[in-house]
Amino acid sequence: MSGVQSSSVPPGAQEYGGDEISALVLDPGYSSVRAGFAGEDVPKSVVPSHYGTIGPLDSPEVKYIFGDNSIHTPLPNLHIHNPMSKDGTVEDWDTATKLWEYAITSRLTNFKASNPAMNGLNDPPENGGNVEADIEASGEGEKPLEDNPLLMTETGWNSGKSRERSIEVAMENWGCPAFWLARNGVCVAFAGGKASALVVDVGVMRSPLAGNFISQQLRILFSTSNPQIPLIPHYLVASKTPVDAGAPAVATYRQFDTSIHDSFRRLEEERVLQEFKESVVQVWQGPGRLNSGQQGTTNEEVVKSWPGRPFEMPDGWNQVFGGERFRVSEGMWDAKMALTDPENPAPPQSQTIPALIQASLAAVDVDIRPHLLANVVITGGTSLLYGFTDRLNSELTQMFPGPRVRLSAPGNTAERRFASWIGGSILGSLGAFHQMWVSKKEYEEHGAGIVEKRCK
Amino acid sequence: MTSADVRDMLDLPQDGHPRAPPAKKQKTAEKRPEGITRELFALLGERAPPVAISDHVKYKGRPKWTHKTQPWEMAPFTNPARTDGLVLHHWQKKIDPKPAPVATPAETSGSSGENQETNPSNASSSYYFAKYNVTVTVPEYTDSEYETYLQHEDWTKEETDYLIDLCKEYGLRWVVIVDRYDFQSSSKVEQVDEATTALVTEPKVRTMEVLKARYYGIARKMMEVKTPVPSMAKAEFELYEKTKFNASQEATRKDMAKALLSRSTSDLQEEEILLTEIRRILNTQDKLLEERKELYARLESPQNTGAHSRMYDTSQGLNQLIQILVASDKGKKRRSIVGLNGSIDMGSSPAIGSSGQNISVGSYMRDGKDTPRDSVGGPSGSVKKGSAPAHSERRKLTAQEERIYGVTHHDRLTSGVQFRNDRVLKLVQAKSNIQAQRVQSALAQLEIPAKLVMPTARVCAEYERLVQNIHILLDIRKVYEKIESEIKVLQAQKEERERRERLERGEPEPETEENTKVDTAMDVDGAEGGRTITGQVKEVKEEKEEEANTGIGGGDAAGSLSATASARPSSGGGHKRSASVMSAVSEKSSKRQKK
Repeated sequence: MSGVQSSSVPPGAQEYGGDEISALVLDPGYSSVRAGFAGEDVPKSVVPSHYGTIGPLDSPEVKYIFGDNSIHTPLPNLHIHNPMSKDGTVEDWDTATKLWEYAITSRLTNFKASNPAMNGLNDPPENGGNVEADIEASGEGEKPLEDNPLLMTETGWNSGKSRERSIEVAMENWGCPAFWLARNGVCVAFAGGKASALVVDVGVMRSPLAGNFISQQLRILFSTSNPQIPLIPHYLVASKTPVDAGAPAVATYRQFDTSIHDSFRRLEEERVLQEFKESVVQVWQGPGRLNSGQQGTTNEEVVKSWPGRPFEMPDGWNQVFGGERFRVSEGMWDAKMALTDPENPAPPQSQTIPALIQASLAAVDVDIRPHLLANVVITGGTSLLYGFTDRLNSELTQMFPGPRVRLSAPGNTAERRFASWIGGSILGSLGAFHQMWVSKKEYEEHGAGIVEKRCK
Repeated sequence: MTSADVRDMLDLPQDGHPRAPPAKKQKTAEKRPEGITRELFALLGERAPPVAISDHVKYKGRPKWTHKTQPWEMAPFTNPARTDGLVLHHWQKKIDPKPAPVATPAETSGSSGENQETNPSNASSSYYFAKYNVTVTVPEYTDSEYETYLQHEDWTKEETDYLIDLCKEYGLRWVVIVDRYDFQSSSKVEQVDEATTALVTEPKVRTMEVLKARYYGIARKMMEVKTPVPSMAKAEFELYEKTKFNASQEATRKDMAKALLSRSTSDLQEEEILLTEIRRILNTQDKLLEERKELYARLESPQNTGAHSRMYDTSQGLNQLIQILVASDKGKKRRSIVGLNGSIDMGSSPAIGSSGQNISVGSYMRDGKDTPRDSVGGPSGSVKKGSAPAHSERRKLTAQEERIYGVTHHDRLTSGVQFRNDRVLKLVQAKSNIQAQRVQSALAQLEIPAKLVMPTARVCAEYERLVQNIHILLDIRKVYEKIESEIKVLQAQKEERERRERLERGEPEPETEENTKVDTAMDVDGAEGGRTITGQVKEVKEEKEEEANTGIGGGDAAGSLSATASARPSSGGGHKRSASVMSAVSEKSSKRQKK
């Protein structure tokens, strides 16, 4: 999209119905906040939703730390929080507003080329708090988004109250000339080039299965395996020496004068698990489930005979993972196969991915079910697990042998992760969309309730 | 002979002038093109390849920019599709105010920058994307119209308005409308508020069919109200026809669609197998039909109706022809007959056999079914069996082999080819209409199809026999009926006479007991009469045989007919139960057919 625009010739009307008005698209989620200009193909600013605070939360001298560069530094008294709840709705509006503002202004609008010391990019990692000052500096006098209409995405189950809150933030705090709230499911469908589609979003949010489910399964796997697999995040390791597979790690650990808060350690552990998910975890690609199979052997046994995948922990401990790497993802498809411990019971069978798809199809009119099955759009970072789409395809064709099942899963990881932002970007740059915006004038006339009336 | 004479003969012009222009042309063609050295050109020879050779390659030069770079600017615009006059900004080419703005699509989004700054609303009246602001038209009605036309016991005006609003809002996307349909009657809400009881009125769940039925009902009614049906324009009437909505039919359709969606894998496989089977059957049927058609077409092709050749179709005719030929040959001095022989008789050396024999070869004859086989077997053309001593060394087929190969011998053959089936059909249809119907009904009773499934020679023969038997049976039945009626008449006469005699003798009328006696006697008589009838039938048959023998004069077919007919009394246990015997026989024959 931006590539097309770089030419001096504007695109012909028939080939591209776009008209860019430098609108901004903001797509907040549990794991990250995506922000960028409408009409571009990837978000320019992707900021983790986790943020750090230093100092007591209620006092005015509390220091907020945003951004990938800053929050991973082990600082004393650093607490890690997330303003979003796990189902993708905002819990802490005040900080969420600050976080989003950071995501937009750090990279998109208030980029001050004249003062590189102040733009947040060249901050030394030790004191990531400078950004705060930056925001405050641009704070009162002028509002950060006065020139840019803002398109925000929301989950389909967002409450009316928080929808009104979001237009208030956009209009009052940021001074947007126009605003729109789009459902991220719809945006994903648009990103896939479909007007209506069955969206399978396996991110971090909402379902007990999505996202963190795999992390949780991994934690259970590590703690139950014999001997236990140590989960040491990077920041604790000062140096390491290579050891044989399965042998205990030989490493020197870093000592901190002040205690590091558990929330920080949790965040760092998640990063290690993330790496593990990306490099080791695999989904049994079908046909059938992991514990079923032909000729007396289960697929699980078949999988065990396949070559394993090695993984080295930050402290040097390493192991080759065989069948386990399939096992941790199987709970998404078959609740009985989920690893459990007392704190984490197995998810209900009705919450597995096939059951969820079946339920959502049963909820719509029978006439469009074949159409939806022919347009299944897959998104979310967890869907990038190796073998995921194959498995989903085999499960769907098994469930619905009659109609044609067609999955649309972009191979590009960015497109898979940021599909809802991309859909918003497409929507916000369409010429025909500009009649839809809720303008500041309308907001002033009708109040925040207008978002309920207009954006539905 | 001079060249001028030749020219004169060939109608060419007298002198070489017309040749001059080509020569000139050649000269110009040989002219050395520019940019090629004389030495090189000499090397190319006389006929230079038609390649344009130039010594310098012309590269595309730098484009000459005649105009300055076009400045772009961030220009404000308004969208006429909006009511609030929101001003947004986009990049567009800056156009000098001096020349008249050219209205290209890219520039229609806003005209000249100057104008826009002063009066943006005016400039952007032609915003390109405003034309996509389309809404659906939904039926409109006033309160009084609603009262008169659109009353419905299940719908309030309020809810109807709500439905129509939703339809407009979501552009008649029914899936969305049903999803968002959440009507709360204001009066009901008030009631609920007032009532402190926990009784919450269950909101009515409206299915898509109900909503559609209501909406299209309204649309239909309002169209009728606006213009009466007879005076509608064609397009309008088509639209009107489309508003017909049958909710129950739609519901059933959806149920069926649901069932179609939830088919299991085994169902699908079965369906697929059935489908391929059907396709296969249809294919083979088509092929069979085509083949049959082709066969019929081949048979029905004109059978060389020329009078000359028809004359020589039979062997006698051929003989005659040979006689004529030989006679005419004798008249001539040269022995051209040998050559003629060779040309007629393919593959046989003219020396073998007499010319007469060779010409009588059946390769021209279409009448003998066995001829092709013979011709295959014979080394020199084919000759009718036994007629040529030259081929006596050929292997004789045994009776069994003959049966296997279907070789039959005929004394006489009708000309042309025919299907056995046709012959069989002819058998059935030969007699009068009533008779034919009777035969057919008899066949139907025996469950034998009118068209034989597999008309092999044997089956056909059996069938022929069967049909003949049926004919006989029918004849017998007819005679039987005639005689029975005669007996009845005679008996009645006899009784009458006896009664009269009794009356004359003055005897009183027999009592009712006697009457019953007579009845029983009659029964006995009936049984006896049956026997007598069989006897009579025998007689009748013999008469018929005689008739046949005399009438047809010992023709072979008649002979066989009489043979079977005469064989019957001896083999069958009497004609009393001839029908059952017949059926037994026919069953056998039908079994054979099936085989």
